[in-house]
Amino acid sequence: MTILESKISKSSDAYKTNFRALSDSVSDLKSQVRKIQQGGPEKSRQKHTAQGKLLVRERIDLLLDSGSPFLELSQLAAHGVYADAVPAASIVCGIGCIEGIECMIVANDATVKGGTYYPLTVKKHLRAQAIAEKNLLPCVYLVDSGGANLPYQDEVFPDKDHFGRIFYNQANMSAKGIAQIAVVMGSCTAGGAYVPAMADEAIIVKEQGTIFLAGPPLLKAATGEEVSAEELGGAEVHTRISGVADHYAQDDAHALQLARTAIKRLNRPSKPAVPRVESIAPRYAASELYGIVPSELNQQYDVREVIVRLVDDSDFDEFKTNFGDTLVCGFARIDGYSIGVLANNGILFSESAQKGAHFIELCCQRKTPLLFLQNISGFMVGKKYEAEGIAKHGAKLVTAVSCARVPKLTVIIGGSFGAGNYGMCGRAYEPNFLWMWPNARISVMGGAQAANVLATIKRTQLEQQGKQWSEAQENEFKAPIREKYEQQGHPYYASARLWDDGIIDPIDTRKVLSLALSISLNAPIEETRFGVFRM
Amino acid sequence: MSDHDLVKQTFNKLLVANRGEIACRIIRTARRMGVETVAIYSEADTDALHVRMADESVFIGASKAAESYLNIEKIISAAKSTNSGAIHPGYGFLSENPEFVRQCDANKIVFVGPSVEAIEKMGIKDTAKSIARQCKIPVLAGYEGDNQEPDYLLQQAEQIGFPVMIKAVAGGGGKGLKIVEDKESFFLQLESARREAGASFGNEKMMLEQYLADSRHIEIQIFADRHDHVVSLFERDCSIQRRHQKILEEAPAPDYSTQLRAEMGEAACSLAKFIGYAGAGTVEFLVDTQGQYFFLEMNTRLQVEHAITEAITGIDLVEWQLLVAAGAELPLQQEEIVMRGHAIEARLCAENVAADFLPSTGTIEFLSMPEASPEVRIDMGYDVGDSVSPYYDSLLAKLIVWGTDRENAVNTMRNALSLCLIAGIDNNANYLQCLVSSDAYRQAEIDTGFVSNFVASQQAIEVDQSHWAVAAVVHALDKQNGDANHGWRLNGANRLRIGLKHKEAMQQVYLTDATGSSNGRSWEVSVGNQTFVAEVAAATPDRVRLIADEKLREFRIVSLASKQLGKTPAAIVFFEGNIAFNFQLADRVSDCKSTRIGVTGASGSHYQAPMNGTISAILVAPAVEVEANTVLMVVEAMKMEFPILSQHKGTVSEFYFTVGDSVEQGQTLLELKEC
Repeated sequence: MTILESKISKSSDAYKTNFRALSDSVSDLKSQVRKIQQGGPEKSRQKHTAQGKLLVRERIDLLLDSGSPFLELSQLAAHGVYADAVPAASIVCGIGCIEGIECMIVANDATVKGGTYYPLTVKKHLRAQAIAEKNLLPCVYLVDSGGANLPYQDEVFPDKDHFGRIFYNQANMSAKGIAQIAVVMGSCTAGGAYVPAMADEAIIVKEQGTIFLAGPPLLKAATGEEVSAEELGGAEVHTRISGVADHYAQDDAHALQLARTAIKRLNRPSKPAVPRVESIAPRYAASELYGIVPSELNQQYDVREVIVRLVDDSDFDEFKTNFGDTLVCGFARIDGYSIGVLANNGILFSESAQKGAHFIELCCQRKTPLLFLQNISGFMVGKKYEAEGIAKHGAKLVTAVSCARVPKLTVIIGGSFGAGNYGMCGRAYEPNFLWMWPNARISVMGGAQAANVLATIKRTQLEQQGKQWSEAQENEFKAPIREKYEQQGHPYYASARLWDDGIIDPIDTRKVLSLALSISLNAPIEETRFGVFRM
Repeated sequence: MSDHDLVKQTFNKLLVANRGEIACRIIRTARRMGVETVAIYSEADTDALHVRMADESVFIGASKAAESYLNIEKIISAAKSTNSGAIHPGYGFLSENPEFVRQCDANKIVFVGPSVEAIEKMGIKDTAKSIARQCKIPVLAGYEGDNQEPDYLLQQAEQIGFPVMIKAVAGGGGKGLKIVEDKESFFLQLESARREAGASFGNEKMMLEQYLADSRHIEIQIFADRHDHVVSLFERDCSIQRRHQKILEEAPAPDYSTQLRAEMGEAACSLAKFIGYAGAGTVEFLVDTQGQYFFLEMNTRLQVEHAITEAITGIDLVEWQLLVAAGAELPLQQEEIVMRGHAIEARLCAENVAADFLPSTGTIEFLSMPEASPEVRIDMGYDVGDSVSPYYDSLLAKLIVWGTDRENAVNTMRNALSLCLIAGIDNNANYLQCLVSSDAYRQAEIDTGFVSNFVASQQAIEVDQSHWAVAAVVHALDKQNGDANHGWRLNGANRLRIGLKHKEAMQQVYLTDATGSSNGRSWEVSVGNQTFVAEVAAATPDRVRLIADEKLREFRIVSLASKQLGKTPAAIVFFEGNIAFNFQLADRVSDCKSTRIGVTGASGSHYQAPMNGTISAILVAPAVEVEANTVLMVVEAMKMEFPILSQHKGTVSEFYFTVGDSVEQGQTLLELKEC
């Protein structure tokens, strides 16, 4: 074992400046989340509760075991995306324990636009299902939704990863033995009707839950038939006559109890055993991360200062310390679970990429989950590097990352730019989970670089036309580009679009990783077969 | 030779044929006198306090008293096998059983108590009453004849006039004693009295007596030796009773004239002399509002409340009992016996005050008593971790206080009661505290109706939302110490849902972690539509402070016996003052049990056992229509009967138990269908 020693100065100006900047970002994040978690407007919430219905988060509290943690996903989904505010994209998703089993909860928030599906609602729902499928988590759907949001039908209905995919996933997960439990606690109209209908078991609340393909207004328009929602598709109809739902619940709490019982009765085999030792807290306080992480992305710092605050006992056995040192690789434990860490410590060179690929091979062979700590502006460029084949060395790392079949967890702790994102297991490489810190930025390249590239092209064009371009003019040209990149690379922008699974407080990183490891280990770790490495 | 040497010479070893506080109390005096002690115990008492205290102990049988503490043969053979020269019977059990005394005599074992003859004369209430008449002591009107036909008894009762008392002639301790308010309930009460008497005393004979409301129960402690000396150790006022059992006694009696003291003392002594009594005895009287007294009965044993007499006279009555049993003369003459100050005894019982003082059973999870001092004496029968079984009396401990006058004694008692913290079983500590704090008690306006009047004016201890909140905090504190992820939420405060049960009620309590940088922990607690702030300061980790509407309340968390033994406690327990609150974790999030359409989940027609006990009678046949308020079944526990009454007209569709079965509290006994 190798206990790393931290070498920071907490009294330095830089530490203090950094601390202030990051803690401000974290408070802003938390206040945004607090607002989002209130759900829809006051009036809708009152109307909702007046019907005897519980609010979506109250439902989740009741559904989960007492004291269960809840790893919420995509809290900022749809944040600032649509003309109207759609907090959490009108759906709350997350992982918590029911009867001791880690389950995926997908719960509509009817106080937000009637719980209808915006494009990002669909994306969030599908992402939750993808996590459930990958990690073999039983799914509980708390349904209370008016179905697809009609004005957005072109972005919600027709494509592969649109509404229909929800039911495709339900069928295929059920086929794999991943339980699908639906609790109908409100409307469940049109396409939505298939959530309970496709579920393994469905529970419906009396005088509250309804399931029908066409609701009373549509029915009246289509056939002229006039009928109340309850008569058309209420709990009594579906549990007594149609059999669309299986259990008749008196109220929300009863329905949630029935869902808990359904999970309890899954007769699910226990999680595959993995070697795990007693958890030991790191030797350094996580709150010091605020002072360590530079307020500006272009400032270099030793990423080991981060690692030492995440891993058990600050014990980190490094691999190839002296080779390719801009990528730190090594073995450690988080909350007693073994993990292989890859963390950027500068630009990726050929050596760093080769070392990373080698290390991933080791972890796959040993079935050790991987943690990527991303802070990367990209691969090194230039004549020398192209000539030594940095593209093929980078490709080795990307191949290794792509094919690795151990659980992969990615945290973007700084910049995530260009092909660096690929080599460090960005979203496209299907990490089990991907989070960002509030200081992180993500884009094809940095805002300044993009502005420079575009300005250089522009200057060349102007000079070819024999025109002059003053420095002031150039700055004026570059400013909006930088601004656009800053806005689009911001974690809120990224998270709103589901490019990640959420933004986390750096202090919580260890806790989040521990939960994520526990969740990921529900699925047995497969053998990895790598593609052809270009040598 | 000193008297103590005489005792040691006569019987160097004393077998205590009893249990609980009295056995412990006898052992203490015997030890002080240099006499070795032998405890006996039943299965339920294997680890009981009296067994731990004695020099030796002998197992004498199953938990049921009839097979252990009432088993004469086994007790005699225990005495013989341990070479015990004497047996002290304590009170209750065999203390007034002539057959037991006969067996002691036959086996040359000294019985610490009066002779067979004295017990027989006084033990049977109707005989005692006629002896009192012979001694010219006033008695109450009544019927004591041999005709035990229910119809005839009713006729007699009507002649005496209602309310009337039905008394088992062999009875005592309130068992087999019923007050009948009117003609209609006479037969039912008679039946019940007979069953109780049969089970407790093996004698179902009943007598009837005029019932004197608003009277005071005053008794005279007498002591006699075998050398024709009889003295009075003055009176005790035992008017405060519940279920005809005393709970608060005091000596001397308040507002009691010297003349009456002398008259009644003389009457008691003359009765003792008349029957050739020896040892400790108590002559009980009722005193009406005019100051007229009536002989009730004589108890030929040590009384539970003897300790208050000890407190005002400075005499150890058990010591005197042993001296008299060894043949010594009484150490003091009447003139030498003086009383000093005022003493009060409170009986701490395992009982549920709100449920009409139903006895309660379980494990004593926590016990903290006031410190003993010259003013405060505690006679304990149990220690923390001990269990209170349904087989015996519900008395946990006696609290005896002394003061220079009544007011001082009352204040000391009130303070001492506030320090009695008992958890794990229902108990009457708070109720007793309320009683002694009441104006009526402080002003000594006491009579035998005091408790029933007091109960009516006393609000039951109510569990409010704050208690639910505190229970959740206590549970969270316990859990949070072991699990860092407990209730963790992403980008928000930790949030816990804790499902709790209190009796039949179930609620969910939500805790949101509000711990800042301050010392200790704090939560925002919401339950129902109320919100509280709860704090546990680092400096006082056993106190939960709850703030609501700017009012602060404090609760005490205690470490439970079962937890100290490494077991998971069955309950969440904390105190507010000396009231213990018990909550259970709920494993469900909803009360609804049925998914049938139209069923609301109510179990209105299911009848549940009010406590742990045995089914002693089933009084109706299945499928036969019964009226509301019919006794369907009788559950017996701690020698008391609890009738299960029909709440409405209907037919019993099923009895889930038969006579003789043991039932646990809350078990469904039967189902009554409306018709």
